[in-house]
Amino acid sequence: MIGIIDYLMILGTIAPALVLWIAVIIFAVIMLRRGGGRAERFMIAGAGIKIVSNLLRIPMVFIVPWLIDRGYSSDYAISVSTGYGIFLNVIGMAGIICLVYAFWVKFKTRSLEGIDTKISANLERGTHDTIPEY
Amino acid sequence: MSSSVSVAIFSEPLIRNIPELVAWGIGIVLAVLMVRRGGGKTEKLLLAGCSLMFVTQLASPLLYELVQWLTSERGMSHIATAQTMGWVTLPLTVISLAGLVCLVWAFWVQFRVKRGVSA
Repeated sequence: MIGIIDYLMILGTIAPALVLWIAVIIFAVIMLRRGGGRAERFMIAGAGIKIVSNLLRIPMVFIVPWLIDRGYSSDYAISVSTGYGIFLNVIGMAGIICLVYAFWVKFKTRSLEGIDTKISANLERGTHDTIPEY
Repeated sequence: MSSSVSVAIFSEPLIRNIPELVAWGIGIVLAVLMVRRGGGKTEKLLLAGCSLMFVTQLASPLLYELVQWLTSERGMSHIATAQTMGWVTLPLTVISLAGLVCLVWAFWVQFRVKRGVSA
């Protein structure tokens, strides 16, 4: 009933997202090797979780027909599908939170780097009046 | 009995989307905090991206409900419903794509700048 074409169609639907997240992981790994830190690690974690979430989305399409074929009621099949969907969205939520947190960490690091640069520049010029307040 | 089943089916996509809605909401809150703490273009792009993704996540279950309503209440044929859905889905896809572009751009700029600074 569920043929190879169905599998290919599902894979085609999630393929763009998979490519995007794999590209994000490659980018983050490159940044990590060039002296990246916590933010890059969170970025890799977030993209990895999103890949897992996307891959787990494949069986979701087949849950309802498979359960109905095995003699379960459609209400039961729909509730199982809903439960699985919520589970997948919770995984997706963890991925998004990791990515947003990575951005937040990077923002904080860059803000501190900006303050340090200003202080160094002011000290070199010998002017202390424009040192930013913390 | 039948009404409770239909209510369960109608609210099912919305319930399913709640975790990701919460995640995008957290993203919006953090982006607003960053913008208010002196964030620039990158943080505004993150805010735009998170907002657009939030809107998409919120609108897609409503779209599902609209299709259900058109099929059951209005007695629309499946072909006509599919056509209507196609027209309604198009703007949603564009919004989602715009959100994704904003997010990718924001992340690219935020994580690329350090390389320029350290070089």
